[in-house]
Amino acid sequence: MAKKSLYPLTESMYYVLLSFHKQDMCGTEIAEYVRNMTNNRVRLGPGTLYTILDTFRKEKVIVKVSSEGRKIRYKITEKGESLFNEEFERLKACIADAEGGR
Amino acid sequence: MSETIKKLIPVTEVNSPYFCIWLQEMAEQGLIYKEKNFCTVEFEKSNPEKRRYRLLNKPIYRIKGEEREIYEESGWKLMSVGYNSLSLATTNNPDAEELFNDIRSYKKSIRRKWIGYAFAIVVWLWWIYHIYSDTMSGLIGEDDYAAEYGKLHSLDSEPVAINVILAVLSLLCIFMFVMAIVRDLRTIRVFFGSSMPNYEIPYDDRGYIREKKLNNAVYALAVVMLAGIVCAGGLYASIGSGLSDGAAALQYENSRPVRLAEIDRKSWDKIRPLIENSVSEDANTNIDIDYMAGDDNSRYFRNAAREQLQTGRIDEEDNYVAEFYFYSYYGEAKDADLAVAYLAEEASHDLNGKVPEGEVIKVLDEINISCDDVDYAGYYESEMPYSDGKYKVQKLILRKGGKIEIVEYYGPENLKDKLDIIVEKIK
Repeated sequence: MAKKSLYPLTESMYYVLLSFHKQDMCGTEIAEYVRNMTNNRVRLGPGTLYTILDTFRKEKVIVKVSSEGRKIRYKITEKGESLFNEEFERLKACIADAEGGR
Repeated sequence: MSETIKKLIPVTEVNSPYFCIWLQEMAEQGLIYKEKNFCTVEFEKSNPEKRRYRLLNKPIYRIKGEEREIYEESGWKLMSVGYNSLSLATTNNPDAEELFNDIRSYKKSIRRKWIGYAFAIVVWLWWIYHIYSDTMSGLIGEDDYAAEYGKLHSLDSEPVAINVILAVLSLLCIFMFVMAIVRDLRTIRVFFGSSMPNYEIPYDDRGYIREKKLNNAVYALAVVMLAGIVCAGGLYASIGSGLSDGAAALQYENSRPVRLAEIDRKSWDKIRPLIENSVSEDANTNIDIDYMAGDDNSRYFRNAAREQLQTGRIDEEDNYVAEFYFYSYYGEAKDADLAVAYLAEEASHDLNGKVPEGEVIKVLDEINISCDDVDYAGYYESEMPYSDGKYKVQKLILRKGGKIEIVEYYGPENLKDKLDIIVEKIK
């Protein structure tokens, strides 16, 4: 069970988790991937990115798979998948609510 | 070799946006941050450039490995900020991302710092309380001790210039402590707030300019305080040097003041084994020995030494019953008038229970006894307010010039019969 402080995920956290669905990644690759995917809408600063990775690692949402020099590559865990899916469902519900209310 | 220039820091790095904005302002004037010292920053002269600075709440040596890689890959260079727990990130790349994009990650990064500030505030508040309750109340002569025993008995309350300087210095200290608290509170406000620090502040912003002025005032105060401490020290030394041989009397083995063994040998022989065996308290006997060697050197008095001996026992009803009591004091006042006033305060307090202004001198006439070898001798019996039992203590007070001797005694001997021995001590 992830810490309550992770709920709900921030937009930055959500995109970091989303990026792991493509492949295992290191910090700088995540930042670039998210920026490209969102057409520069979501940009991850280095402080934010490292804080999120550090939190996810401590909460076992992601795990290290390899390291090259100072670069560390991570992959998402089952716990991370479940956290992502919960957030995904919550966002879908938000959208459905908004569409139904229009 | 590039040219460097040092500048006094006009905004504290505790208030991070202003410090960073100041560095940015300097960069636009062609001064690039090189390193920070205690209260100055060393800049390297260069071409004016748009450069961003951000403080990180982590010392540079703790940013390593993956974390450092992420910062550097993002276009930021990390530097140290003197000897504190912060580090400085800088970039001249306009495309480099801001360090933090969301408030949750930013708050997490300053959490450790916030705990530090909360602790600092508690320490500051404790200091302010301490300064006010101890130092200030003593300096302005309104402490309980001075009220009960008289101003001269509260040696710190003497109305001399040095105390005014010390009082002013204390006020300045308090002001600086309050300033430190206000700054700490600002940082804590960020922690509890919901917005990121604003680095888009123009250089003519009123808050930024006010902060610069305030910091200059703090520097000026620090200089005043330093000068004040030097002046106070000099004044203290010059006044203190006017006192004569009181320092010699501060030795425990000195003949001043009179000791119990000299006026009541039997009691001394009885109590001595208890002292030597360090028996301070048991169920039936209480002995308290306290030798205070000149802790209270003041501008007008040099206290010689005090020796206090007391024994008693606990009776069946759990009351303390005194067996004997002895206390002796020797002091040197700056002049005879002060010595007279001091003795008058002492006797007036013992006999009347208070020290009325202007009437204290009269009491000395009432207790005067004849003694050729000193300028004044007085004798009376008094119930000591700090004695546990209801017993009357004999008290002898002597003065020769500015020298004072006070002896309190409860025991089998008559203190007046020992007058010659005691007088010898201040001749």
